[in-house]
Amino acid sequence: MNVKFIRDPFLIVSIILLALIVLPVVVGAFTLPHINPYSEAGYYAAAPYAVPSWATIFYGNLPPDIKIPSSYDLISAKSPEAISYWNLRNETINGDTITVVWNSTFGPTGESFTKTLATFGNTGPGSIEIIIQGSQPINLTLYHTFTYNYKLPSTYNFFNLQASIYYISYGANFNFNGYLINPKNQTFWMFTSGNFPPTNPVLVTYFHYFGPKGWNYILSSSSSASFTPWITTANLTGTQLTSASDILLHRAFNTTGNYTVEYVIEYIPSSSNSKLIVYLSDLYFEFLGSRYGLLGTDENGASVFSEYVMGGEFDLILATIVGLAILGIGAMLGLLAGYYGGGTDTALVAVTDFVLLIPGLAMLIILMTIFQQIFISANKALLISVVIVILSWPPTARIIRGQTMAIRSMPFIEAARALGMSNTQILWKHVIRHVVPILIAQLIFDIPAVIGIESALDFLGVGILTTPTWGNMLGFSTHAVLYAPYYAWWWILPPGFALFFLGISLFYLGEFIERQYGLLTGGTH
Amino acid sequence: MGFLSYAMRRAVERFILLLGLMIFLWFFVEALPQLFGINPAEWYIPFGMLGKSQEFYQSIIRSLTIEFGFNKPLYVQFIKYIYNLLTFNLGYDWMQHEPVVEEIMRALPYTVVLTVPPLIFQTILAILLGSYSALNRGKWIDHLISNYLIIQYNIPGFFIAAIFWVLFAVALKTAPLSAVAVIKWNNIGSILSAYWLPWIIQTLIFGFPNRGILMRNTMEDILDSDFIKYERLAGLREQLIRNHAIRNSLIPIITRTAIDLAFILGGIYILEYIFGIPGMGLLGVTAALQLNIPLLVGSFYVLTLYALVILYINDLIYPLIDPRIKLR
Amino acid sequence: MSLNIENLNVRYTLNKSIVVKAVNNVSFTLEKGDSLGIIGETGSGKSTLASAILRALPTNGYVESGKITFDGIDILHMDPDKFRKEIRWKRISIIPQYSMNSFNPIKKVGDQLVTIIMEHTDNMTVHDAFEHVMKLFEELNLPPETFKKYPDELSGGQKQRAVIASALLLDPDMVIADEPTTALDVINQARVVALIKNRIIDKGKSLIYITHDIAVIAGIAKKVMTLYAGEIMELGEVHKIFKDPLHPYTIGLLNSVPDIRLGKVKKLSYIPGDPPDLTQTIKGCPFYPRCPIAKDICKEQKPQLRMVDGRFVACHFADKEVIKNV
Repeated sequence: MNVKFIRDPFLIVSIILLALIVLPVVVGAFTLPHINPYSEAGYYAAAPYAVPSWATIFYGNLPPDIKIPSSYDLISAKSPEAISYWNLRNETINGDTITVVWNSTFGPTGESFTKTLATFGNTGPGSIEIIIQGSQPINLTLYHTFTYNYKLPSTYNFFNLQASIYYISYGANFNFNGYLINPKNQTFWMFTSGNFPPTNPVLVTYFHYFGPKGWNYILSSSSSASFTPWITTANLTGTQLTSASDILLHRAFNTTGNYTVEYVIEYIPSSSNSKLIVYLSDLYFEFLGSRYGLLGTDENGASVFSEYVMGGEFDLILATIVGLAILGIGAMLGLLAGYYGGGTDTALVAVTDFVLLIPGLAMLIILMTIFQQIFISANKALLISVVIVILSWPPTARIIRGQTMAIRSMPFIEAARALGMSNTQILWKHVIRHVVPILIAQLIFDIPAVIGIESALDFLGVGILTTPTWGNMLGFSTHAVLYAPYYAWWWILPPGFALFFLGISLFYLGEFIERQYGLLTGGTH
Repeated sequence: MGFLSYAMRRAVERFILLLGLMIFLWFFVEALPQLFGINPAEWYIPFGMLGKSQEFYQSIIRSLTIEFGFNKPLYVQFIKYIYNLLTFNLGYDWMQHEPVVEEIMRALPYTVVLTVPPLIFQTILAILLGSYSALNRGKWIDHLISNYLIIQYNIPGFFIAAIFWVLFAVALKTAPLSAVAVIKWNNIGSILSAYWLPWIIQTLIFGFPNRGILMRNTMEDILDSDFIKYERLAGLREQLIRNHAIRNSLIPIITRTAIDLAFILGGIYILEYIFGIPGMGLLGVTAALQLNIPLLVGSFYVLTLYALVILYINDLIYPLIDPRIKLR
Repeated sequence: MSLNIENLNVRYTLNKSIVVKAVNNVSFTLEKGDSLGIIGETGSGKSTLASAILRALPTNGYVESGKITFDGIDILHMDPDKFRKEIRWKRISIIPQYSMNSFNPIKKVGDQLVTIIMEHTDNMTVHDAFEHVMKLFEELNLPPETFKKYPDELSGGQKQRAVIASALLLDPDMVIADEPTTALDVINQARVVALIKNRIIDKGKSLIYITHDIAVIAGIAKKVMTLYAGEIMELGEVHKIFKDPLHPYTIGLLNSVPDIRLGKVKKLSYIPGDPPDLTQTIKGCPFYPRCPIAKDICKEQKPQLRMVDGRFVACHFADKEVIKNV
């Protein structure tokens, strides 16, 4: 494409746009943890389809993520403040002595569970050590209160209650229960566990048995409400059972006010010298909110900004490498064909004509599929790169050929030849120097083109699927739009605009370079 | 007389292109896997698709090997392959249990309806917009149109298509979520209701900006050319001069149809996928996702053949614009 | 018919602020049957003058001041459409510099000529126009097949003759030939010049012939004008000026032409230096920096065009003895 008038304001706007697209990617790539948002480890940064934090100006006071406690040190009991946070103290009740200390050396090990951004499982020293000694059954309550002053949750929110526990029992049984209590004083029993089954036969189903000598991890979520003891008290009808999660969420969060998270240790001694030592860590409650970060979350609650950063990083690196490869091959063949003409030239023209005539996307899809069959174990990104290079070098070569031909016929080349310089010398000394600006411009034109092609493949599901790319983001978000709230615009728009702005800004930049050097070819871009 | 020999010459040229395509396909689909020790017959029938025993599978592989001659020297295979393509023997789809060519023939009309009207619309629109812009060159309207076209050129087509689908099909519900269920060939209304949005996108996005800008720049050059100045000197009416300039500017537009058609045909993969039109593009994507190679290759071949037919019709129209061509 | 130009000033705007003074204070009169040769270096304003007469200046060019009257009609302020229909080609036609590219490459030559006729006449049928073109072709020695040919199928000489045919289509009173022989070989140049002489001068039409080729002027024009930096340096009868030029610039131009016909060895010379920058205002004589006889007065005071020895000259020393020594 050839445009004859571009004013400098366009250049300035281009550079600003480019910075707007690329800077977040660069900054994010260095600051964000590299957790793949398409793997479970990247899920549930917030509830699915959380809007961007700043979008609350449109949608009102949506709940953010609520984390109890909110700091890593407190959750994983890395600091002694954990004790006061959960309102614990040394005391004597009914003659039993309760000793609470912060143990800085003993902490969770060897737990296994599926980790997401909303589940917390710490490994390493740090725990709350509680020693109960005596002959009387007592309940020890750990609690923390928080305020919920937001809009009531939607269907996508949920909350988790979790803990890691280790115990040593000397003739004592115990239950370890978790509750959420709302401002209307309604209690929601989230889990029950311990070292002996409950007497209530119904509760047995929901009971987590803790073995001695080993850390136990427990996670209870409103999103799996049917596996909480709450279900036994909820009086749900048959049809309601299928939406138990929703009912739990909305019954629990049915008003604003102060909520309490409670962990209760029920001490049941069997003799007068019974003693129970319990180590607790990872005591954690999280309410997954409806607003998150710069760009909200996707259908898995993964951070869209993370996807944008990782996708952009991948796309930009891939496009630069592929662009350089296209340029390398294109420049070599273009120079040879343009300078020497003859058979190379005829072949180049024929190949370019052929490549330009066949729908590129169709050819890409077919080559991708076939290469995947032949090179089964090859990296998919590498395959895509190779296929794009195979199909994209001819037009670039053709443009460089045109430029070379124009330079070849210029008087100073004649002069150099008359002075007895050899063809190779002329090529190296004169032609290449004059071709460099168009090479740079071509690279700048090729980068968005490569990203566009790669994104189209991903969009159609034929490309890379397991890591984020801008094309994947667009593809997945388009699929999700049908049922997502507000059409998930924060998910679908950023990659689209990134591709769009990148294309425009690099186009104007390339044009600017071409114009600066007064290139001789009109170009067939 | 001149026209006939021109038409013949062009037919031969297009056939050479078709030959190139077939060589390309043969190389990647049959020669390359054999170089890597894979029997392409395995691609004609995906393993496990029959739900039968290993022996049964092997026996089918054997019969396919013989049918397509994979046990013969490469040149025999090549001739056989070309012959198969030319006679539309595109293999059997073991996933859908029908000949590939039947699936393709069922899909082709959807793609024709998706591509031909937009091709015509966008040609007309590009001519109008490009020439209007060139006639007003340097004015704000020219800057507006030109920069619109550049910006438009750089918007990823699938992004626009997706946004339009979300807007009109999901949010406003003025277009069907999926066209498959709507289109009935004997009901023009159903065709219009399913196609109006893809048509607009196809017209305005895929290939259109290239043509608009090409038209504008060519027209600009032509308006500066000596013969236009001469016509003006000779006192021809401005309207007549413009018409001449437009007609001369059409030459590159028509000769470049091939490249722009490739854009449109690339667009069908996106549009059919998004709008659920069961044409060649959706067939191709589905085949690729299922690794259904006979269907993939067959649909690609027929699609390109279709492109060549359009190009040939374009070749036949070309002398209307540039009558000199018949003489060369 | 008569063409009368008074104090014509033509300007081009390059950027918003830069103005090129292409034609400055040019005045002359051309009567019926007159033939005027205009000579001068490239950029001296010859073609601009022609374009101004035909109101065909490029979009960045404009007439700043001055008057052009044709048969007493002020053609600069005439209704453009009326000018197009009634003056262009009907009264004044042009053989342009770019004759080789004058025709639309995708239309038949004959059809293009017929179109020009039809555009200017109301009562002629296409068939009449066709007959007319064929007759003209015959007169200009163009084969009848030319009518059905595309421009690229014609040879250079044929194309040039077709352009002349075009200029004569509507039997105009005046023809402007703007370097009509530039792109031609010597034989064709001679033929074209002969044609112009036969078909234009000998038929009593007026002619303005713009060229670098002084010898041609000597052959066909009655009057000659030398232009320098958009100003008239010398204007008068050809035989007078060529025999006895009175402006140092004219002398310089004439000395730079080899004359093989005289059979005697003449010392060839050229004019040193470059034409002045037309974006600047020139205070004195524009030729001053290159003039061999320049004095201080030339730098300070612009010489007026005045009558000396039966022709107009713009030189302070035209009537002085010093001019003989140039």
